[in-house]
Amino acid sequence: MEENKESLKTSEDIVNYIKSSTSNSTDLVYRKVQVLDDILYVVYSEAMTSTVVISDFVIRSIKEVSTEEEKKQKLSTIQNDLDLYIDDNLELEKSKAAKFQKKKDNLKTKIASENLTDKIVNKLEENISISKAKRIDIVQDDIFYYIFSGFTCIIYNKEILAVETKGALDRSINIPSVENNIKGPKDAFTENYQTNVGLIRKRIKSEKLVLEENLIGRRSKTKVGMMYVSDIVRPGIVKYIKNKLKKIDIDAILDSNYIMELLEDSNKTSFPTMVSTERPDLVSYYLLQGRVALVVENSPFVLVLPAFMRDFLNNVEDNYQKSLDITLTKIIRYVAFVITIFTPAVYIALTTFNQEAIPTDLLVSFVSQRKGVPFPAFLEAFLMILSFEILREGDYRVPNSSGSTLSIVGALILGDAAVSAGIVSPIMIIVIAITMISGLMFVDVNLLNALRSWRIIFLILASIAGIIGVGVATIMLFTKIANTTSFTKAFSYPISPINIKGIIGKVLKRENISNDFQRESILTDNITKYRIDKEN
Amino acid sequence: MRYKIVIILIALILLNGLNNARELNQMAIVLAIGIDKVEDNEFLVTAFITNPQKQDSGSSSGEEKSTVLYKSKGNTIQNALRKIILESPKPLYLAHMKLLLISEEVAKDGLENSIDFFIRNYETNNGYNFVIVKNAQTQEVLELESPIEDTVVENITRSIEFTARDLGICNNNTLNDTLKKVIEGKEEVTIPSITVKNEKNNDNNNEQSAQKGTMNKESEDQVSSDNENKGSSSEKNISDLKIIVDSMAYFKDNKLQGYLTQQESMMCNILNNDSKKIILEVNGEENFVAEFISISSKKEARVENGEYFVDIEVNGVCNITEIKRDSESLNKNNVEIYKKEIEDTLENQINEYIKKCQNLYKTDILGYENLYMKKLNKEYKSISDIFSDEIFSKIKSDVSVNVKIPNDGGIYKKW
Repeated sequence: MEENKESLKTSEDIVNYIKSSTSNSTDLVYRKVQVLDDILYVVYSEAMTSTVVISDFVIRSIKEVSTEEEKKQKLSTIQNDLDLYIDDNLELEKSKAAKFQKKKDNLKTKIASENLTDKIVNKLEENISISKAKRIDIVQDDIFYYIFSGFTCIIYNKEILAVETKGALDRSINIPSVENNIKGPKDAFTENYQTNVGLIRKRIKSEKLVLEENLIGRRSKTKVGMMYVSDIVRPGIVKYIKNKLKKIDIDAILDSNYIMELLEDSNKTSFPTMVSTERPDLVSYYLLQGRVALVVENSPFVLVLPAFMRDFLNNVEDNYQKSLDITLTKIIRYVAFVITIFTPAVYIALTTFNQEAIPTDLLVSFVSQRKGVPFPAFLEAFLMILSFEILREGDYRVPNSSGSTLSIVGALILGDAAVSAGIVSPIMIIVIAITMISGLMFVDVNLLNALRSWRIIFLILASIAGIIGVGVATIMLFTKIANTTSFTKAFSYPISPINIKGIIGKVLKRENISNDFQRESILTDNITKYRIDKEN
Repeated sequence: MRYKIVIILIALILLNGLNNARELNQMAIVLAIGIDKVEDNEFLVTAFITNPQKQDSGSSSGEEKSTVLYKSKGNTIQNALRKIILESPKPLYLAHMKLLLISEEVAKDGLENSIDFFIRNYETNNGYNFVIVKNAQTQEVLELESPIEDTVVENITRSIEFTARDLGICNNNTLNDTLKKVIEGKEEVTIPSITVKNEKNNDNNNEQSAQKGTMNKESEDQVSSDNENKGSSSEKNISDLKIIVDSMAYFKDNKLQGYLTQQESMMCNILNNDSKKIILEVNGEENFVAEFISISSKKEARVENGEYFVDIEVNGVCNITEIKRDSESLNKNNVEIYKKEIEDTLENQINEYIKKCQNLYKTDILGYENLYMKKLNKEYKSISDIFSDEIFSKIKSDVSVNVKIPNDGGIYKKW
């Protein structure tokens, strides 16, 4: 193919080449336009472009340029005739002739120096009333990338001019659908790459916010934009990520999760090591801490890295509320985190192995509730967790209209009827309910899945060895968290590379907006806020 | 990683796993055990078991009893308890015991025989009340029904808890506290007692036992005579019978000797630091009632010129809660007088109690031997053989009482 490209001399050749390459895909439109004596081809993908723009601006501009050129050419033929006439007859009027001579020379040199095609295309590039227009070369550039990105290619002899005529294929900016908030900005990323970049730029209007673009995916050719604030971020991590992105060799990138998986290949942990968010305010917040954001085309989720455990437990919305009471909110979140992993396991351990640790009245109540339940407590818990997970998965997939059906079936059949049928005990429903509700406090799906697997691990170990099993599982969990790194940074920061100030300031309390002048040294060398480094 | 997980799982199963797994509905929760003595020196063990009802099927199941009693006889407690399994569909689960009752006869035979099982058994945590049943069999007590609480066990433990807290005539010590003393062997134990009171024949059984408290010397005879009366008491209607907390039982060489009076029980608990609140009636020049909010005591042993002394310092904070009207002095300035009266009364009572212990009861429930052993070990070594026989009754006690009266009640407040 590459060799063939060299042999493409005329516009017909190029058009035929496109046709054969795309196997005559029907969404491609080839339009002929008469320019002077020649035929000019306008090629675009109907699906990707706005036909109004093409007809209004592209074709009209071509027509205008062509009529202009026609006039000029006529003028020059008249000029030539005039020259002959002067040579033959008007020797007397030499002064006039000298003037004409000068003009004639000028024209001739011009025509000689410029190829006609080139001239017309240049003219088009200058005159066309669309902001983004680019000359491309059939050999060097990938014409199909332009066509399928929504560009209109104007092919004239061997020259190709690509003009952006993208149609609106994206939804507008909506409120976040996953990360809901009460206060604070309510815009969310969309599938449009430019919109996403814009939503971030809108918040950090500084020349230091850098966007570096990569095309990843052999077939999808997806744009992956790396954004960082150049005087805050550590250059090392930018370089590291850049290298990793370059090494990616894959067919297609369909979502930002592909990038996430390709970047974190060295980590064998179920905990997410990148924040994946749909909120531009959160991304801006992280960028200003010295992190790097990856905006992936066609994905409404922007990745931020490195990420710490605390980022998944906390919510940026805390910063939009009064600070004093947020500590309680945060503690509740941590408690919920513990509850959602430990409760079923501790319940199983206590009721099947260590009954002496339960207060007598509670034990009597447990016994009365478990009367007549045929399954062992472990199986009971497992059944309930399983049915809840089925409900949850169903709830994600079901269309909104039948959501209420699901909740009725879930609440009544699985909750009430299961108890009165004697399949599970009411206390187990309570245990599983509090477990699952606590789990819903965290938005990140990856974290939720991680919690789910750990919950099962805890449950199994608890049912084998009681409280000792829970202890072993806890050690395993802590080891795993301590072992996890996110792009060379410890995932358990600020607890594992201990930073007392960080624990008190960022984990227990929320960030003190009015008094905090420092960034965290784990992420940046530029510690002091409000300072712009002149060297970078 | 997979290798490690397999190792962990195998280790868990081999070292501990599934060994003592037990589903909740496969065990009989024992709330109390009563130990009686029957013929042929056999123990009659009564296990008080909860039988929790399924809550939502209350109407269909009718009136099932929420508690069950299992009784069995055996030469040893272990033997008797094991025989209960013949009767009970579920194995007994002792970790949630709240009460251990022993009857007088068992207590008279010596505590070691009856409670050794509970020392050695790993399942019981021994953090429960240990009570002597006076004038009755433990099985009778456990058969009673509680008017307020769900179970009779709850009734007894609550009564003891609040009596100990608010009146100070019994202590809320657990079996472990008692066991410590029994095993050390240096200090004699005092254990709370309960008795059964017949509401209809108020003047019959109960007054006797109240009197008996004061006349300790005859207590042994009375115990035996009460046992003879036992047949008649069991004929009475169960709903008329009530359990009341009685004064403390004192032991010598871990054998039941008799019962203290209520006042002596109070003093006993003050000196053992077992009670925080007591109510003291003062009948001197002034007649009034003082309620101690907190009270504590310290004992120091000393030897001077071959004589043995124990300094006892009692500190308390009290409120004057009631003053008899005939006293003239409704005067704030008389606080000092009240204070002195309280201190004198308390001192007298303590001295009286100590004297009784030394001369009448002849048992070291004061813990003097323990005190000498710990504080004056050198001196004690030389006298350890003769301590209980000769020295104990000669020890002189030097009691000093300090009382603070921060409040004088609301009488002088004018709103």
